[in-house]
This record gives sequence, C-alpha cells and structure tokens, in this order.
Amino acid sequence: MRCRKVRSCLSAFCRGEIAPGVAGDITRHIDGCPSCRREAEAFRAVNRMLTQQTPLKTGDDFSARLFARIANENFAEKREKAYLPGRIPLVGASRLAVVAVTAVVVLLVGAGINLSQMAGPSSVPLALSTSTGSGGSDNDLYLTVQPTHNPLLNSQKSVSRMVQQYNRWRELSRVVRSQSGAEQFMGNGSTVVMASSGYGSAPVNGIRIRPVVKNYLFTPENSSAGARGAVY
Amino acid sequence: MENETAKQQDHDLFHKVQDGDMVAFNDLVNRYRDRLMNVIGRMLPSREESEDIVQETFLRVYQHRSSFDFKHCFSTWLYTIALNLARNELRKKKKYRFVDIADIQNTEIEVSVEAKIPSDLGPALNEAIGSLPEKYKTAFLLRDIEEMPYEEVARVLSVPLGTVKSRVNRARSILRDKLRPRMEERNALSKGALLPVSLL
Repeated sequence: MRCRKVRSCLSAFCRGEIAPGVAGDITRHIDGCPSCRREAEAFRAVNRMLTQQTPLKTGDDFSARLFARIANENFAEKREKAYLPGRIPLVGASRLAVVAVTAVVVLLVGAGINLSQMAGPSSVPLALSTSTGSGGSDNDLYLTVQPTHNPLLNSQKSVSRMVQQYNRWRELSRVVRSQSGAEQFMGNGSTVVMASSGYGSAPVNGIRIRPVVKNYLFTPENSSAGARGAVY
Repeated sequence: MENETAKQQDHDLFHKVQDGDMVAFNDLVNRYRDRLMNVIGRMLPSREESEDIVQETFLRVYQHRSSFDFKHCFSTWLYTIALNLARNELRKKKKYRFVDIADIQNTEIEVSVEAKIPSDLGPALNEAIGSLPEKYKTAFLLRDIEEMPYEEVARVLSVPLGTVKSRVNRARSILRDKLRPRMEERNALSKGALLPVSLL
C-alpha cells in the first residue's frame, strides 16, 4: 500500500471505520512508515480530545420554558383559527335549499311591500276605475275581484294601472294648484314662488290639501337673470 | 439492533404524542434535548441562542406532529429541523453581525491566557470546530460528536453517502492541521522544554 492511499483513509482507520482486511494492510504500512505513523498519531490525539470534551447540556428550566411556549402557541393558534377559519365550513344540500327558499320568500315580500308603498296613499282605491263600465275585459273583471290593499297585487304593474296612477297624480297636482295661491314660472320653467294660502280651502274632488310648510320668497330685486330667489 | 430498538421506542412515544399525550412528549424531549444541544451548541456562538434553537426545534416537532411519516426515523426528522433552524440563524447572523463590547474584552483575555499556557486544549478544539466551513462542520458534528451512522447523516443532510464520508474526512484533516501546533507545543511543555521568551 502506498502512503497516498493510506493517508486518504487514515482518519477513518483511527476511528475504527475501516473493514478488517483493509485495516490490516494499513497497520502493516504504518509499522514501516514513520511519517504515516506521525499522521495517525495526530488523528488519534484529536480523537482523544473529542472524547474528553464535556458535552453541552440544556438548562434545568428547559422543559418548563418549552411547555410554557407550547401552551402560548396553542392559545395563539386557537385565537387565529377563531377569527380566520382555514377552510369554508361545509353545509348540507338540504340546509342550503331551505336557506335559498327562505331568502327568495323574504326578497319577494320585501319587494311587494316597497312597491305598494310607492303606489301612493291607500285612501284612494286604485282598482276602482278598472271595474267601471259594462264592457270591461276579463282581465278587468279579474282585477275587480282582488282586494285593493293586497301588497302583492299592488306590485303587479299593468298598463291600465300605470295610466290610472298617472291620472290620479295629475288630478292631485291640479287640485294643489287650485287650492294654493299664486305661482310664477321663470323662463326656464322651474317654479320659484309658491305662496301658501291653502288654509281652510274647500276640498276639490274630496281632496283637501294641507298648507305648504316651506315658503319661498321672491322679490323683484333678485328676479333678474341669474337670480333664483332664496329659501327662508 | 440498538438503533432499531431506539427507533421503535421513538415511534411508540410519538404515536402517543399524536394522540395528545404530553407525558410522552416530555419523554421525547428528555431523550433528545442534550444530544441536540451538544450539536447545535457547537454550531452557534452563544449558548442562549443554541438553547433557543433547540426549543424552537421541539416546538416545531409538536406543531407538525400530525405530518410525521413513520416510515422515517424520528431522530432524522428532529436533527433535520434543528440543523435547518441553526443554518437560518447563522445566515441571519452573517447579514447582521452584532458584537458586544464585553464579549470582545473577555475573548481577548482568554486568547492571551491560552497563548501563554496551552494546558487545556478544549477551547482550542471548540474554536477549531467553530472555524470549520458549515458543510464540513455539520457532517463532522453529526458523525463524530453525535456518533450517528453515516447513512443517517446522509439522510439528515440530504446528500449522498459518499459525500458525507468525504466531508467528514475533510473536516478531520482540517482539525488535525489546526490543532497540530497546539498539540506539539503542549507535548513540548509536558516534556519540560523551556518556554520561548515570547511566551513568557
């Protein structure tokens, strides 16, 4: 065996990691080679130093501190999960169906109530005129037998109902004009002055208009171009 | 055979840990805490940091206990986590190097005393191990300090068996070369040779 070959595995030889056959060859070489013997001695000295080393140890309170940390981490993990769920909770199909049906019913009822509120004062029977006349269609006849206060029925907007509503508001605006005082129009058509004088006025078509609360003042000085009056 | 028994004991304990048995976890901690400290403590400069890393290792083990694969050795998993954490810590230290003035003063005193009387080679050995390149150091610590089989070191470091053997061999050679002057000096002192004037 040559020195170069021996030295390449000398450290392993000194640790007893070499197979017995090869180890015998190395031993024979070292016996006859002083420089390789010196190298082997150096390795053995390092090994002795390693075995004499005092092993490093953890402190006495290591376990206590570790378990305290684990307890804290557990708590933090739970809190995080409570606020930010890692996954979407699974809901059964039957439960989803019940939720969907409930949502649809709630939406329908809500929409019906809103539309009935938009339809105007309930003191005026909306379906009244549809029943007038003997030549009414089947549809008219159908409307007449329905209760007029039914919110679901009111939400159904037929053309005749829309015409009827338009006529009602037109009549109302005419009554308002006749019961209130003077009114003037600017060049652009917007109402500027509308004095309230409707106190005690006689009802027109059974409708009495309440007095105007907010008064608009119009003076000749600010009636020039650009002036729009002021609200007091 | 002994290794197989130890492996089986680890697995038995870890099965209990997975079922929420904290006593079993405490047993595992007691089995490995000093062994880990003996390796990690020689990789990192300060004792406090090393202990923190060992704690963090057990914390990670507990947190990820459900993901452990029983096909592998528990100790391999444990050392892999610990070494990864230690490497990360060293990487951070390279980025930001904090130096305490008191530490510098203490080091200077120790070095000067050691240079005059090299009677104890322990600190010199630790210093030499600390100065090893990281890849040689980890392989050397696991093999020669922790006395782990080469195969397990290869699994922990995720490198081929031949690479581990060559790294360990290289580390031993570097240590021998670094410690040789100190050892020769000590031998000379023990034989009653006169101290050089520069050391007096």
